[in-house]
Amino acid sequence: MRDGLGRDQTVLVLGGTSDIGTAIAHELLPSAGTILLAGRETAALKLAADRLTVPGRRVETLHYDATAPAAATVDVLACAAALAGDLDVVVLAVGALTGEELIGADSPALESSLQTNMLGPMVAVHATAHRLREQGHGTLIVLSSVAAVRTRETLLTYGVAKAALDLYARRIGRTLRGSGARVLVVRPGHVRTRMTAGLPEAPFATTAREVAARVSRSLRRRAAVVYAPAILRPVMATLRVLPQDLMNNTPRKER
Amino acid sequence: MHTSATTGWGRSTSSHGRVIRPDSAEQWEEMMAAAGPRGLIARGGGCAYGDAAQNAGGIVALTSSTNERLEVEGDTVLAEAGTTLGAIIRALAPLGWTLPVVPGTSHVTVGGAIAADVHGKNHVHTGTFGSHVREMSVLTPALGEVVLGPESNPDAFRATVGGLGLTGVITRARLGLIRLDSWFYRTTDTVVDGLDATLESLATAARDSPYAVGWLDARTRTGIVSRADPMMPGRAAPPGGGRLPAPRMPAPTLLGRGIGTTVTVANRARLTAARLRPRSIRPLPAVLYPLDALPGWPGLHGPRGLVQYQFVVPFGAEQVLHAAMRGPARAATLAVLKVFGAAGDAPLSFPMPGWSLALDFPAHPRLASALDTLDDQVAAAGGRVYLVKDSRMRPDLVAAMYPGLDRWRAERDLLDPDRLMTSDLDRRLRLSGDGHA
Repeated sequence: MRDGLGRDQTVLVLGGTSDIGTAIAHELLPSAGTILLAGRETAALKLAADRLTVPGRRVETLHYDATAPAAATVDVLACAAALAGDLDVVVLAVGALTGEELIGADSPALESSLQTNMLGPMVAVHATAHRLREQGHGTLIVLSSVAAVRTRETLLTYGVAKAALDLYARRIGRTLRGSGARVLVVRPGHVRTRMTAGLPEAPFATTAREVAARVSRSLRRRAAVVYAPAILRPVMATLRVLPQDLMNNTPRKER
Repeated sequence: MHTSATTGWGRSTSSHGRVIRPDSAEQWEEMMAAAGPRGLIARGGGCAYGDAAQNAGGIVALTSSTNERLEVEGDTVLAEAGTTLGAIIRALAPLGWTLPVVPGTSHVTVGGAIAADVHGKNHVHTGTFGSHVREMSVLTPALGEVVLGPESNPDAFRATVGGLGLTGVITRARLGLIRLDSWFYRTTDTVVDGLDATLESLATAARDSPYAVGWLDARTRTGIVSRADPMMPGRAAPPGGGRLPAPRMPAPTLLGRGIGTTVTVANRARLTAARLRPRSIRPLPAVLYPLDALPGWPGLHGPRGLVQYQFVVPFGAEQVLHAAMRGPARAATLAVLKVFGAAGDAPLSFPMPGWSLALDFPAHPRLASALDTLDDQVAAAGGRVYLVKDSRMRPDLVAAMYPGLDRWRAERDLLDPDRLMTSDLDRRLRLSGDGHA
């Protein structure tokens, strides 16, 4: 349960090896509580769990695969609740950056990208929202991207997947009004993480810790969508109305 | 399923549940039979500062319809759970009776007073509310309606007194009464410098007067010790059949950060008043219910609400009080000191012999680490934090503060093996223990 000073007790990270996801968990539970990391790669999860281990905090790992059938996602949530009680915060941090040049003529690669970035996460949003509604409290944090607002050709599949997830999560958030549960959609710009390593850096690049701090502050407000850094809100509003051809000529790359 | 938000009195906690108000014994039983996996909690006056009477995703059952019967028999009164203590005191005063233990507000119900095992400013003399319960009816998930008393079913009785509503729904109780000495009390305020002098003065006042309480100002290191003594018995009967209008002041809403100055000014004003006019004559409600004088008090603490932190440490552990006054108490908007006498035998009952300090704060996240540190100091000194007022403690400290926790859990599992009775407080502090929940 979130306490009277706004502190949460339990955070579940779906995509538990994500730099941003774990940074958010660390920010929300600085010295106590339970962090559950759910992910596919056991060794990487173990590493992430070790990095998060501090005195007073319990860290557990769970197996979760965003490309598995939906029933598995429901089971992961039930498992997490059995381990740690009510889920105060669920961070949905599943995703993989796949540029169009990587997909190329490989249609299965396109399918796989959509599964990881859209289908799996949407199922997770659906299942989590249901659980939080039953619980009568809790926050689902969905990691979207500025690519969901303005999609570039070089990241077309990723952008489309994030756009769908972003829209779905916001609408589900609206249906949760009055249930005690809520959804917060986070749209980071270029974040320096393992996922973006090696990519040319876009303007307003930030770090996972800064995104986490911004998310934590937004949880105290009634925000439904938050940009990280904040300057991206007006920037994206401008880019959104820019003609596509002009946009493609702007020298920047989204995450 | 339609849900609505319930909050604690301090407005710093809130969650959504199904709020229903059963109005017959059958409806209560049906509700208990139909409660889902998120369980149910009874809610009386909603006076718990934190999340004791909230139940996210489950049922919050209001007892307010069970307040009609009030039967005096000998030196006892039979009252339904939803009756407020204020109503009982008003109704009994013309008959020359009153309740031996009353908390700082008249809006607490009989059910809530038992479930929190409340205390008053006279704990040294009278003990807790639960020690005057002769018997009570409790609707339990395992056994249905049972009658519990200190002699009949004593273990279940003691688990229910101070049991935070987690053993079942209290439906009615027979309470012991005392003779009403006087409706009017002479109050005497003494201004004292420093914490040690305040403690000494309060100990004397608590011994000699029926009601005694200390107010501390951490910033100026001054205290006021307030004692109240009955006027001559000839003035026992209240004017107008006890229906005194409750003292009320407007409830303005200030931003949280504004209250610091307000509190400084208010404390100065109170000190000045105590110096200029140390003696006054007040009707009983004004003596008993200081909290009712300012119903908008939580609202004054800003949009995040108010967190109260009340702890008790044994005599001899005054260093914890000093640490509190040097540390977090400097941010407090109100600091109230009391002396406690002998402890009762209910495992989750809060009072124990020693000093009790209650601190009110605007619920700011920055407060968290200072109060966590204070928790550790309180536990290390053999003291405890008052659970029904809590909204932020760490669950792992409960067992150290309440050594009877396991005994309580065992008894509670007999009355409610499926842990149907639950609350946000129960979940947050893991009172029911691990395992199935």
